Amino acid sequence: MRLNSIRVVVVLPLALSMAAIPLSPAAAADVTISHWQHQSDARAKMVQEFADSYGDAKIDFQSIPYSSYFQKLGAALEAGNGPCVFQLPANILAEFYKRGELDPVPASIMSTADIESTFTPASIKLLKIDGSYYALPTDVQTFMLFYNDDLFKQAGLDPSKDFATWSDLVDAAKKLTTVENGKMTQAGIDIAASPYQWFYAVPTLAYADGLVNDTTGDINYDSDPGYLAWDRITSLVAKDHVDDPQFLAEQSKFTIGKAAMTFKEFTFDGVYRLASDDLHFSVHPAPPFADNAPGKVASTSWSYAVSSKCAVKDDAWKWVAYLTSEDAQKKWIAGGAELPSRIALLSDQTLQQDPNVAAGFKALQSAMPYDSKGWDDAYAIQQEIWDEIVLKGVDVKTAVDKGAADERALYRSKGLLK
Amino acid sequence: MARALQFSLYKWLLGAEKTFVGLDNYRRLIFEDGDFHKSVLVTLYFTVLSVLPAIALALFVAVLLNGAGLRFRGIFRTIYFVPVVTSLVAVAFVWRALLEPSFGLVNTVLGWVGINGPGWLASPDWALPGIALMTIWRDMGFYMVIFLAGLQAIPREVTDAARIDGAGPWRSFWYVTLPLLNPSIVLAAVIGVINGLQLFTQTYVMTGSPQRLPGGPLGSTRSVVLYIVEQTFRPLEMGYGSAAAFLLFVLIMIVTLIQFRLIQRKFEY
Repeated sequence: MRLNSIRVVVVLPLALSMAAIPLSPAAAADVTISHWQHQSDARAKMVQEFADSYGDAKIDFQSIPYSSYFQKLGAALEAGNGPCVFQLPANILAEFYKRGELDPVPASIMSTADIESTFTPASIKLLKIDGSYYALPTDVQTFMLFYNDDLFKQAGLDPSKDFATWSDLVDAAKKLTTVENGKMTQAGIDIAASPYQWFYAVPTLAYADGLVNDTTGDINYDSDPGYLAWDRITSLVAKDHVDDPQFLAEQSKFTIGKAAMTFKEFTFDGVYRLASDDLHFSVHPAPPFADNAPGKVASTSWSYAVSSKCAVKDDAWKWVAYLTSEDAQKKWIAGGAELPSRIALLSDQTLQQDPNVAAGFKALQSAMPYDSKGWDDAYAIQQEIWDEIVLKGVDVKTAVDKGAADERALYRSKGLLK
Repeated sequence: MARALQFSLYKWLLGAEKTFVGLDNYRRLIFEDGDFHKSVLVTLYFTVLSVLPAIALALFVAVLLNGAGLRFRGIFRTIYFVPVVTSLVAVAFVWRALLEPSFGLVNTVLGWVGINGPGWLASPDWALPGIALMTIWRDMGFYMVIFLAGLQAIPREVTDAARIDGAGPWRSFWYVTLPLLNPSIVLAAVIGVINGLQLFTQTYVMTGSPQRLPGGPLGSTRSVVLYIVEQTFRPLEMGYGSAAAFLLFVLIMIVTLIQFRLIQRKFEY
């Protein structure tokens, strides 16, 4: 949802270029594979181009508005008339698996060993359930700090340097915040309008295995590292006042030069390039959770899955393999919208001539996925933790404990936790 | 509706087996679900905030525009009615910009008269009044038309007789016009309250964004209908959502019956 509209503008140039470059000669085919994914004009056009140039089957592609995507997909799968191939966020794959709606990746397409040697660990960690893979990765994003280089220089800060510690970040953000007559005129960090990137990333990085315990499947974040993570991110607004929820509440402050930093998915690199020629920015990893420790970077990704009720599973998996192939990924990356999930592409220097893109590629090597087992439902719980602390001044531990209990109850209602 | 009632008796997570649970969904909603209780309060609060002022203002405007001597009556009536025929989604987007706390027009104008405007949609305390403000602006024209029709149906002889008997404009309005407008007031109140209890579009458009789920901040604008949508389509809990929908139907029916009982008056010319 949150990236949907942005991807439209980011992927458009690539989509247009692909219209003229078919991947392979089209051939007549008797098999028809239904394929659903959520709507973005450019992405839909790209997939249609892939489909048109695909020779092994006819692809019946439907691009569904994001706001109704999960409703339609859930209802269609339940009714037995869902698509063969569909797109899912990696972190809710387990939910669909639990409902018996997924077909495992067959060895004829890729063995478990092949998958693990081909794709980055972060992009496939959540796709492996009970020893088998149930989808192949697409649309990988890392959460990165974006600096407004001009505002950094004006404040006497060096925009080429990464922050070594959290307090370095806070100090710089305070220095970059300006207030006149008691009202904010420039935010140190554009955060209040879209805080989810912070509460997805920082609590994830507080634990070696992310928000969810790999062994028990239970929530990790209602313990000391989680409290610290939530305290840090909410303090940026509630105590350090480097942003104000009422300052330009409806605007992207970073885009219009009213915020010196923002923390977003890598795809915003393309968004900001298109947004303004005057916006000079650079991309950096967030400071490590533990001071001066090797930094990890939180990531998200989507995946292509095949329905367990699909009548042409083998053909469907070939289509998924085609969409996630090295050639296809190069074309996705060339549009500036995505980072690769294939390990082989991480060292391809031709794809990362731009320093911002290189920063995104480098971050992938230390990426760990946001692994909450919910989508909008889990997001709503975590947003409420944020709002309780920032808007109501509730104690961090109280808000986090309540949120963790709610998220635990959510997992139980889905049968994902006993 | 029969289907909704049937589904409400099941625990039915889409994709899983349906399990008959009787009235358990209703028990959870009525006795355990704090978010549902809050959404009911939000909805009732919004209904009071939006319907009463809109009807009062519409009545005032209708009386003004009913005067025979007023020039450009048609133009004024059109101006007040235009918001009714505009797209609710479109005006919700416009009002969202108007209510922006730091540079929005509403707070800018308040600043001109020395008032430090509130955070509106960014504030848990002011988000719902902001939505109510927009709803009053939009719905007032509709009620105005109902009242104009009611005013024009009042026989001239009745108000003339009151004047001959020595009633001034205020007493004539209070003791003659207002009682005779009772059917129009009942109609406006019933329609307004039903619309208020079905609040959805305004809160969905004005508080949701690609970065934020609608109904915030902190559930302060989460209406019952929005809650039903969330419960039904977010975790895909069809049974629970159906039970909430059926409870809303019962709530609307009860409130409407109470309104008829309290407001409706019999009269004779």
